[in-house]
Amino acid sequence: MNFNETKIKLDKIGCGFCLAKWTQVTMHLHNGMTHSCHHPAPHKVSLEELERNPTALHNSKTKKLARKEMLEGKRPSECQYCWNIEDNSTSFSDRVFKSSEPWSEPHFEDITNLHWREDYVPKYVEVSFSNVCNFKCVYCGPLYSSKWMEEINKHGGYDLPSMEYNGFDEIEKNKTKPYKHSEQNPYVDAFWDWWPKLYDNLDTFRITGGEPLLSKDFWGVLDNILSSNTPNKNLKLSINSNLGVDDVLINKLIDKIGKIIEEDRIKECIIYTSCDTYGGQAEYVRHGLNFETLFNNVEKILTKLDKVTVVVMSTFNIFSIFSYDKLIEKIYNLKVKHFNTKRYWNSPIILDTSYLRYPSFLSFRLLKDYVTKDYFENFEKYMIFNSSYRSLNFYQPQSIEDVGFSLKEIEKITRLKEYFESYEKDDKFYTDKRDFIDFTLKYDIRRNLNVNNTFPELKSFLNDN
Amino acid sequence: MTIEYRNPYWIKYEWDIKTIQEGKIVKKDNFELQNVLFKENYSIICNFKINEDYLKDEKAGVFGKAGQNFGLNFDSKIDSLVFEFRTNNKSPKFHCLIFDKIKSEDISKGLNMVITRNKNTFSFFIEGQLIKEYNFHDELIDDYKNSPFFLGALNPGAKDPKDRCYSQIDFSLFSIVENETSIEKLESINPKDENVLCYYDFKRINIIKNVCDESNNYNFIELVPKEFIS
Repeated sequence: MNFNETKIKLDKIGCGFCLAKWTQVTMHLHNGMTHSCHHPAPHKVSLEELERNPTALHNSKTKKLARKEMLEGKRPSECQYCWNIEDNSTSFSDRVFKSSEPWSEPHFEDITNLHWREDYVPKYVEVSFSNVCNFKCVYCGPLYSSKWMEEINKHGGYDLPSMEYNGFDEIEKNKTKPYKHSEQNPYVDAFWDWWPKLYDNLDTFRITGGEPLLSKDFWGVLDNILSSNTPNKNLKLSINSNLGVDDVLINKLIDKIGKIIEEDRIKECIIYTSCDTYGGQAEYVRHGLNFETLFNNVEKILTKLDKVTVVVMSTFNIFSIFSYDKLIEKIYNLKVKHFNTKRYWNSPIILDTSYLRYPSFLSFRLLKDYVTKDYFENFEKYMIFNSSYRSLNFYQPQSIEDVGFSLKEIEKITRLKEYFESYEKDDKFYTDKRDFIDFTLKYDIRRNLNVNNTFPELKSFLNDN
Repeated sequence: MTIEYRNPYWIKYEWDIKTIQEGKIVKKDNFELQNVLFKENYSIICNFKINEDYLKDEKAGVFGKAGQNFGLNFDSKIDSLVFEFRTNNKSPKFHCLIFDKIKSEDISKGLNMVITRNKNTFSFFIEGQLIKEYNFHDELIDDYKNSPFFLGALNPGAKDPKDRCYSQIDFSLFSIVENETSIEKLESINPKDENVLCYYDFKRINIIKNVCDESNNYNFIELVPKEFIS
């Protein structure tokens, strides 16, 4: 079914009807928040609700009311991201894309025949068990990193000219303080109660964090898959990891995933990691990262797990631009080195570039008029030259000549360029720039870093007050 | 980069990065580049080397064009570098310029050559020094229109095998620059200058052996497909 047909089918139920409200969930078990796709803000599941219904981790009252609206032909306000696209462009919104996914579309009839009060077992589940993490990346915060939590506990938030960054006020106001990894967590308990039913019905299960490899529950999931007498062989398992943990844990991951694959217990396994630029500049952004260790571990995984693909997620920010070309080249060399025809996906390693929006003072748009679009054109050119010129999204490589960047990987770079070119400075630009300069001063002091040494390219930018 | 004997490259296509068809980036004939020979002002920069033990035909093609006798070659029969082309004057006229001071030992050490056309004058520079100017009348023959440039051959598709002129050859630079014939400027040309139509320093070669165009354009060069090699 094509996207147009999907939209027509959805609209027959209602102009706001979206299957993802049933089929997809991200559960932040470390603080009891949930949402379906990432566009609506997460909402809290109360402990009372959880006690009545453990599946409220997904089938919360808030979500059920949104489903009711959808079935009644209304548009829930929390899904405004999609209504903006549908009302202001001819493009398809994520409502259509997600409803077209293989984990949504086949369940259309079942869902439309359900009463809005009924619970539904989701098919695409993303879960974070804990915020325990050994990194404190510049764009993250205490909700998703215990290292950030330690820093804020000790020093407070970053008091910048226009805002407080990563202070506790928002957390306290929204009651989203994470449980400690060592604490009993009723949300995690509810998850494990639900797990047997969840597992049997899953299309995709993605584990994030914090750093999953530091979470006992992450290993619990793998052990559960390994010990199941009726493994869900349709399961697509995705694991987020900074791959910057101890060797013992990396080797443990490789052993367990290797066994799961060998015993044919899943359909595929993809490992997602993160890196936003190259070398020392990448280490400045993702505090705790050792660039060489990361890529040694990436190579170890690609060598020992010859079916697995590693996706390098890049949150392109103000610090990314100056050595991003080297990251792109490194990814390409790994595509060539680890090519085989056995991988679950069509490349051993994929670069997935998205641009950072929050916090706005770290956005690369602040470099408007400081750098030219030449940077992005050079990234694009390198990737196009090394693309084998086809959309590898739909093509399984047959030989080494097929190795290269896919159109999707290139398109993400083009989006950066277009966003940069189209951006026009406004008042927020100057506010954000002041915040950025102040932030780097304080960041350097707290973490014993030196932005001028690490980013000599930014010298005059930082001195321009 | 070494171009192997009977494995020449061609400068023919530009990659249209804005056009995707059936999941592929479209490449299309770049006729503007292919027909640059007919413009009034342009320059061809060519740094190459042919070792004495390299495989080559009697006339070793450095670069050429499909059509009758166009290009730069080393003629081992007369032990001289030669540039040849044809013009139209009711009947075609053949121009053969022999650089008899350029011998095989010079070619084997490496040569930095610039050929400029300024209206009806070709000028030839070796290592930045003018060695010959040649005036001609009439326009180049139409055979040279809408056809690729070749590197490592004169014309692989020629009916007469003697006109194909394959060579094993090392290239370190090949570039075509429009509207610039000053040798001083050409010697320090920036690949990103607007009037650089293509610029190959042969440092970036991809997995399918294409060579990257370091100018602002997307005129990658590729091995001539086997079906075009006679």
